[in-house]
Amino acid sequence: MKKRHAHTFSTIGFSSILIIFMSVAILTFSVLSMMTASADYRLSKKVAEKTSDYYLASNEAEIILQEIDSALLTLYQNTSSNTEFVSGIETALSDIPNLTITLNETACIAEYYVTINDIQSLYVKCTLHYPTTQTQRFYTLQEWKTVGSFSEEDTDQSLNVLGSE
Amino acid sequence: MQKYHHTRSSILLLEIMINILFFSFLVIFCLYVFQRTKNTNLETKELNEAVICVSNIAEFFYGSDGDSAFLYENYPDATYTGATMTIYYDEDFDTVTASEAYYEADINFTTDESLSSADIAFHALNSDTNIYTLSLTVHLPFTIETSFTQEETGGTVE
Repeated sequence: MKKRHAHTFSTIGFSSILIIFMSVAILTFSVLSMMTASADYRLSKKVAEKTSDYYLASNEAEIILQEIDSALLTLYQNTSSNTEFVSGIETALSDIPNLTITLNETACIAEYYVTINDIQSLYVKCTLHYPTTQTQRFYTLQEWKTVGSFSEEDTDQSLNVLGSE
Repeated sequence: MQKYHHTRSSILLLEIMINILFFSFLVIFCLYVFQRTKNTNLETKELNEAVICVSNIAEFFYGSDGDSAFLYENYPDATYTGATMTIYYDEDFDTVTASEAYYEADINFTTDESLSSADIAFHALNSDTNIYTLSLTVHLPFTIETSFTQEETGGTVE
């Protein structure tokens, strides 16, 4: 009888301990899966926002390109030779902000940046020229790329080492 | 002694009942959390795939200088009216015909002087909520031909 009493006593509480361990395990798995899913979703949202930002900047760059092209078309209509056209480029494009014009012996290059976000910009570089055929454009795109827009001073180049203050 | 043993059994039974009740609540809560996780994962997958599909359309649009007919050549299963285009996707986000579609990308084309624009909205067929939207603008380059057209039409670029 004494032996049977001891056996019954040890059974009480065992199911509770089992349930507690199972609960902790299931709860941990569910919370971890939820956290992972939320983190993935936040990352996807960021990717979607970055993509939208890039295409917004692209649209803005296309509008600037249109302004350049319109100015060159007007210049072409008011000039009669290649030399006259090239010499008038700088004046014709002076109204377009943030546009850098570089004139050299071989080519005339226009460059500009459009901000994508805090750390990135869209860099556009095109060669401007006098069209010689009916279907030739007034410009040729050389570069259309995303570049980092932070300066050297903004970049944290410090390195934390042991013993440093 | 018999009475003592009966009390112990009752306590055990009560404990098991409380445990089952507690575990049932926990299972309900965890199932709810797992269901939400599944929905979030599905939304994440939809968003990722929508961004990829819309970006592909955008690159075709930019690459063709805003030519909607060129876009249609690359999506032959799409519905194209000239001013609008609908591209259909199945559950795996592969392009399919309208009858097999689960998702669709609606594109509205507009041309304003030398700017060609496209508004893309990606959504599930059974939902009006857009998963991802994108507006694109492309400049249609001028040529000497444009210059002649401009002179003929009195200064406006067609």
